[in-house]
Amino acid sequence: MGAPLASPDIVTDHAERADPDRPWTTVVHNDPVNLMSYVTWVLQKLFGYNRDKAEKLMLDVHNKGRATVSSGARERMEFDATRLHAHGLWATVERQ
Amino acid sequence: MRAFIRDGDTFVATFAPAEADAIRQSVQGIAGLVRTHDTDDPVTARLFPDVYNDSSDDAAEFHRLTDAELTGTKLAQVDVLLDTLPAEGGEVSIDAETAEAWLRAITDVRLALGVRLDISESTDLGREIDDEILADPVSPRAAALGLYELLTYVQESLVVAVAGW
Repeated sequence: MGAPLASPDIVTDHAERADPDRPWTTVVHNDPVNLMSYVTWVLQKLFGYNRDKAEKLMLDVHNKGRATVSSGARERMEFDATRLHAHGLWATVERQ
Repeated sequence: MRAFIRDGDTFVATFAPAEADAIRQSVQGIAGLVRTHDTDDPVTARLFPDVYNDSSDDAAEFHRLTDAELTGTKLAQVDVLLDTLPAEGGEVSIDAETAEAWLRAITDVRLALGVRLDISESTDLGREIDDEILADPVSPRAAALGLYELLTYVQESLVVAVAGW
């Protein structure tokens, strides 16, 4: 399992802001099956987010249909997406 | 079924024989689907999502590079569940790593059932089950809806126990 992001708090709150050093993002999309509790737990486990942050992201997924859960180099985003897929979450990699 | 609870370093639940049998069959079904990997089956698309929405070439290339490993992961977690859920039911006592394999294996079954049963945000599961049983108590759809409800219950109790909330 990969190391959690070093500074998870800076990753997602400004995902919409263009940042040349963080050109790629991993996006989790809403689905009608995965439980809110499970999605929260997966985000905590894979990214090292605390429960509050993971729940906020989960609620964004649930209410807005999608949330950016990590950003950085393309290869790392692909790795994050594969870990999310292994847990049954629907994730894509996008250019920020 | 008695839902999962945490007991020290282990997670404990109890399953009726029919429940254990239905869950074991369902994860074996997932193993079959994963091995077959029919790309025309919408369940395959859900279990192996496209990582790129905007480029089918990039998505296909990524599938080519990663699907074999994801297949192996999915088959391994099915084996873990089958090894730890007795066919005759009874008590299940598993460690944290095993519990995580269970969570992933059950997720795959719920995702597959969600596609087959056309589960949406607006689905009222209790009402669907009631309507189906009234119409035909032995219909395959009633059984699948019941399994979905059971797995939701198992999943919720296990994730809360594992997360320690």
